[in-house]
Amino acid sequence: MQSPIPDEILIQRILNGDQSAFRMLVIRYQNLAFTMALRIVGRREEAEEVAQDVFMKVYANLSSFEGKSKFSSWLYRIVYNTALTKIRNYRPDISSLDNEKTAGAMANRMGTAVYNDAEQIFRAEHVSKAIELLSPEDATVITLYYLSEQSMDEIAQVLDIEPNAAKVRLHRARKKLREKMEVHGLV
Amino acid sequence: MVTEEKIWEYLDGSLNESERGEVAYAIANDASVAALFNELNAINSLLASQYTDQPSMAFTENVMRSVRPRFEYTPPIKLSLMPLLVSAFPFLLVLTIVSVMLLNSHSNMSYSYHINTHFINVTKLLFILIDSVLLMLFIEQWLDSKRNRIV
Repeated sequence: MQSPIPDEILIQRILNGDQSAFRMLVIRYQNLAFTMALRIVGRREEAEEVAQDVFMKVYANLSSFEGKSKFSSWLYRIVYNTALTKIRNYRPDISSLDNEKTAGAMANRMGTAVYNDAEQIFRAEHVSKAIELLSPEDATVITLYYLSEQSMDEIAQVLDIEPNAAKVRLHRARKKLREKMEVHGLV
Repeated sequence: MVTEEKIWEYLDGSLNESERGEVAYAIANDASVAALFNELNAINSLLASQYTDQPSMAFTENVMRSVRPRFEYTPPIKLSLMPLLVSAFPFLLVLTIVSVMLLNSHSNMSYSYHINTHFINVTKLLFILIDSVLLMLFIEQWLDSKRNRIV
């Protein structure tokens, strides 16, 4: 099987005006960028807008990408910042998501069927919903760690924090997620 | 004392040899630690089996369309030629009608260029018109395919 073209090569080709290279880069990262955005903004339409904005920003600023970090870390940082900017427009108090006052709304979103269905794919769907209910930072840490398989150093770069702080953040995020999953009978 | 954090690190594989041994011993000998380990292991498996969501099918094209003007701009052939072809169509139509009328005009009237409308072959004219439309459609398709190759 042919190995995929490395990001660095694609970036160089894009900078030389190769549209097909940019298309390859978009296809490579669009699912993860969209998933990350969805878990922060919580709505598909907005997540798609965020992901589209992200790729436009990536293209516009590609020449300023110095390659000091991995391209994926740079891209995820843009996703994170763009998604945060987006939710400020319609979600005035982000921290309230972790408040127990939102438990009713959470139960609504997760649905009651969760208590009866044990199928893996169904559970995965609800775990995904539970992650969306975490704070943007926690949702990002979990998504990057499990879906993108980023290291603690890379996650720290995305969130602009120290690696140790990223590790603490991951533990905290998993603890909160566990609490939410217990409340809804997912574990 | 084995904490929840320690068990997560155990699951992550980020503990050193002695710490791993300590946690493994606690799991094997302490029922409460074993229960917690089973619970966290289940969550870990669920998280590890997560899948990425997919944006709409048009997503890639939407992105490409939004950044296309930023690439070195070459006007799409379709956009640059189609208005010309469309605006030339009435002219071609009139030209066709006049040509057919002249060709069918009476031979002894050739010097006066008198147009005899009785000799217009309607069927022939209809065929020419249909051919013209088909030609236009063909050109449009050809230009479309050429544009797609460029993209």
